[in-house]
Amino acid sequence: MKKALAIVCALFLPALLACLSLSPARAEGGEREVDSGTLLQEWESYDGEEVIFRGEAVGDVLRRGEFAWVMVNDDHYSTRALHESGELRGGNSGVGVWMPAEEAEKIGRLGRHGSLGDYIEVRGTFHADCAEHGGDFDIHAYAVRVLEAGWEVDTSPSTWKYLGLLAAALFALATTVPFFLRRLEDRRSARALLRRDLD
Amino acid sequence: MTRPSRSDLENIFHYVGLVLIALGLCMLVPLIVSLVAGEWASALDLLISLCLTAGTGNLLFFLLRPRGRVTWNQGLVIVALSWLAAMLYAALPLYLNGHYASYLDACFESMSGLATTGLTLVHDLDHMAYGMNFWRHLIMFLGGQGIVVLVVSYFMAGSSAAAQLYVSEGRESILPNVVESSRFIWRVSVAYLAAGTLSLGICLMLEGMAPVRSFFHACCLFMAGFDTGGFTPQAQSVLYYHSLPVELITMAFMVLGMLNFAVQYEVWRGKPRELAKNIETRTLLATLVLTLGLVLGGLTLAGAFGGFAADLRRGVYQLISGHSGTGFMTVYGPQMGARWGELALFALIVAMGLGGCSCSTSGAIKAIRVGIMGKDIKRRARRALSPASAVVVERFHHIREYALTSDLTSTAFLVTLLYLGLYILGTVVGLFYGYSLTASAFESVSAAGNVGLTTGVTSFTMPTLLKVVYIFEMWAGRLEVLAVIPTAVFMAGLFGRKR
Repeated sequence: MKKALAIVCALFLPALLACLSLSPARAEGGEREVDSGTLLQEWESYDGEEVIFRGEAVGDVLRRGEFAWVMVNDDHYSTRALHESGELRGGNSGVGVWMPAEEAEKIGRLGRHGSLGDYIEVRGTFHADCAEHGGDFDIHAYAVRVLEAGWEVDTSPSTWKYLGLLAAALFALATTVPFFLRRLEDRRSARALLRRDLD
Repeated sequence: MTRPSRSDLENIFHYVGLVLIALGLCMLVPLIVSLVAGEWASALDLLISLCLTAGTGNLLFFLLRPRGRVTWNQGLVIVALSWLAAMLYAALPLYLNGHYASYLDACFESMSGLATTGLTLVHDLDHMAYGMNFWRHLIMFLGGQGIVVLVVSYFMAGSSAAAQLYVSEGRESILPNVVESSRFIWRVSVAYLAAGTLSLGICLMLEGMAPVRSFFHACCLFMAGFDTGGFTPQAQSVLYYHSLPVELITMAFMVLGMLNFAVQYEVWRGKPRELAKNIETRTLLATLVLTLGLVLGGLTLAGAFGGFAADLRRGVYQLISGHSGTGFMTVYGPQMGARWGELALFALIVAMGLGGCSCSTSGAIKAIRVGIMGKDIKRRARRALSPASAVVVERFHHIREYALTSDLTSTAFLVTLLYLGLYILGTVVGLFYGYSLTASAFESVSAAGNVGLTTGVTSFTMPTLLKVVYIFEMWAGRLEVLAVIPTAVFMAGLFGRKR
């Protein structure tokens, strides 16, 4: 009997370990770490599950009574601002997070133009079609932690743009002034002709 | 093919120059927004673009003097080329701002804005400058009201070419004078803009947004909603706000944008019954009800949202967004492609392909043509059932009473056929690149119908040829396809034998 059990364990243990290594990482509290792309593709396996989601808080804190909505982006720009790195890596992606207002107050800086928002960690329940919010694709968070404070991004224009402006302004002047003067001259001569006719 | 004469070229490019001057002057508005927000890099981008656009416009306008009256064909070519020139120059600030991978992508964005489509290739929209984001929405407002209508309103009063250009942009005259009609459209739009921004701004403040950002978002959303465009200030579209009141108000904008301005003028004049009697509003109501039934049936069958209330909220919003040609989304694109089921997506494709009313900001086939074709089918059925000697006359009401003529029906069928051809073109190219039939058809109809909904095909990684095809579809769709034919003849003539 013991021998048979040992054979079964020997056969199934590697398979069990392989399955565990393939499944997403689980945190100490049992939540599964996940990103927005995985949630969109594998929504069925995460629906109603406790998850850990990390990303940049962007836009606004939309406060609704005791709770608030915060958009959390986990795209390339959530850690590297476009205006600093200059790397174009597609559109934004993230998930709207419904969190208690006191948790939202921990967010000091939001991602906007000239500002990289706080990089936060959200622990909560994922809903592929939230019954409370009319079918929203969201996470109801119970805990929010700021992992890294956001910072101001330098968006000052480069020197070549000033040179470009100079060239463009010269072009606009060159195409406007001569014609404007010619039109003035035409009007003057027309008035002179009219005056001569009247005299 | 005969080569266009010198007077053809001078007439055409003189007015294209005028459109560019107007477009350049419009860049002053986002420039002011950038300066107020202290965004110096964006302000420089806009100033450089303003100088180049107005400079090129000046060159064309002053160097080329119009000779004689603008003919019907010249009018169509002026409008079609003006839209292409506007695309090239409206893309300048977008490209300089660094949020687009190539100039082609910026052109895709500007054509999508001008044609009020709403498909986007922007990178990192959530960190875009206020001024540049405002420009994206303003070009939608300009395109929706008609850039040529703008020029006719304020730069061409008294010109004999005004009427040709006005009609060539797919507008019907509301008042006896086209300049008065254009000005009326602009006055109404600006009045709606003020009222819409105020109402949505207050709503957004109540929904938790800071006052300045509320009114900025409200103004952008109004321009994109009323002009049935679909751009939004944040990457998550209308889903970003998680708000039923915002959805209801933007839905009202979309409905206003999809209704015929001439019919709205009649209602303003104290004739609300026009809404109930008009063939276009009746047809629109019928197609809305029909496609809504299919969408809700499809969503229920697919179990997309797990409950009828959610199906109704998401389904109605996406249907109005699709039918009006707006493209606002309250669901994620890939989520829609994967979870809505074939029936609901098919109903959305049909709604997008039909579009809103004529003389509105909607694109696609339009309700009046659907109504006329329906009347023609009814006339033919009645004739088949009547004695051979009977004369069957079918009438319809559109502001006044009309008898259905073969001219009207053949034009309606021709334009519908051309639109179907346009839809098929994009679908075939999408299939060629390996996208599924549903995804290819959905995206093609969305581009050609100037809608902007997406199941995820439109992205910065999509093939270059597909981007070019969608730009062509958006341009041709906005000009109701017919203007493309004389333009193609004109372009081919440039390389043909001398007259």
